[in-house]
Amino acid sequence: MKKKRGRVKKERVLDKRVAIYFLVSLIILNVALGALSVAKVTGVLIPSQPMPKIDNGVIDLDDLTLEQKIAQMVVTLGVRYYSDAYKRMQIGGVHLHAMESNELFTSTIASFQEGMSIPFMITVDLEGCVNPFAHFKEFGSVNEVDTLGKAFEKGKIEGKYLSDMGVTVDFAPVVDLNDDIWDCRSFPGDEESISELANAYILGMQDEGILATAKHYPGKTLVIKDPHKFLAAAEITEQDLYPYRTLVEKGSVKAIMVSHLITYGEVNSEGKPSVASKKIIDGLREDIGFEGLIITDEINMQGVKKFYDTVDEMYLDVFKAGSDIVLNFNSDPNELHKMISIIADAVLDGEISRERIDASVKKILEFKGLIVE
Amino acid sequence: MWTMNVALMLGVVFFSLHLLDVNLPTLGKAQYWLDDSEPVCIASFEGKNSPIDMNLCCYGLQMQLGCDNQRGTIMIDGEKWTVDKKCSTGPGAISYLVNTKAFNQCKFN
Repeated sequence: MKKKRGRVKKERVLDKRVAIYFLVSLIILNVALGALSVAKVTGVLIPSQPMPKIDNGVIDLDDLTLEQKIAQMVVTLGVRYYSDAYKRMQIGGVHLHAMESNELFTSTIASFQEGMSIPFMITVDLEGCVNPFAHFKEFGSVNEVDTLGKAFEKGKIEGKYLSDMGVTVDFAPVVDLNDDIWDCRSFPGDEESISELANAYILGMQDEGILATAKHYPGKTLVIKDPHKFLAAAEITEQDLYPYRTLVEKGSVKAIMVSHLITYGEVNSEGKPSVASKKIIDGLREDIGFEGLIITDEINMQGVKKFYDTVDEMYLDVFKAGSDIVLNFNSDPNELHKMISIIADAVLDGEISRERIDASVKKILEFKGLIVE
Repeated sequence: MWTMNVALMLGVVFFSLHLLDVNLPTLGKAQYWLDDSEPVCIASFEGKNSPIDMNLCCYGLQMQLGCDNQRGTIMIDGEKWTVDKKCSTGPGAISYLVNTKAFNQCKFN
């Protein structure tokens, strides 16, 4: 009896000891996995790219790694929390959405630019009635601008405001001929009037050092559609292309944004969203004769994303189509790193040419004020 | 002590799933999937209201500073639309009037 009691006591002590060992091991495991999870979320696990050598504003393209070059072609959302990860990857630019104060904008921009030898492109959507600063600063709509003088002045005023803040690119003006939805995002009049007013606006804005972006090529993005659908298609006419032909001919426009629409008619995206259509991007370069920066619309818009079974396929198709800058507002640094790796693999496999990547990166770095060798 | 061990084991499972990119369904997402109403998204500027497709709507919503609960009905060309929230960047700019289904659709897709 005494022996049995002793054995039970011994087993209980052993049980307790096992439970304690188990508890301690689980605590250690939880702390380790928790730390790994935090590191993953903040992008700490993403490898750093080497700091590029820049001598007197001159940069050698061959000094950049392939991943660095692809990262320069990406603009993501300017989430301050992830700024270290973006800096480590050397992402090309950050886009800022609405904030509560001017000071918040300037401090966010300053924190992004701090310590960067290749500065971030800082982009916004300021179109007048689309206004990320509306909480503290009002700008009139472009549909009220009806003379070249007013258009130039509007471009100057908005450009000065953005320049003082540290913004470098504005995704405006809209040169779609019809804004059937808001009636405030396009200049008034016919295609000739819209083209002339947009030209004056671009000149005013670029006079203040801000890159203006004509959008959304090839047109017809602002028309009412079925609220239950995601994928949209439109017929493009020669009239829709008129503003682009005019602005390119005048030499004022330095950046054009390509839309998510599937198009047919005068320009045909061959059943794909325009941002993923090589035919559309090549057409913009070859038929319209545009030599500036070609920027995609945000690729996570459902109109693009829903077209593909996986985002990996979408990334590949969008880069293969040939835009210089890809807007990916999925701000998760791990997702951006995944996209860069997919494109780097496609370059190494010969699916995307190195020359194509180099040509885009050269334009981007030159826009950032560097001399590229 | 074993209760604590079980809780910690759940923690290990949770962290491991997170590290393996397995997303657990949230309550909000479950609510969204159970909501069988049609999404409603109205773009609004200076009194002009237009229903828009969810592609433009979700992109637009992402750009806004915030949303306020604002239940109401809007008549557009004789058709009645019910909305639950108003999202905007501030006065003098475009705003979006959406129902809960549209709001969650943009959030969870």
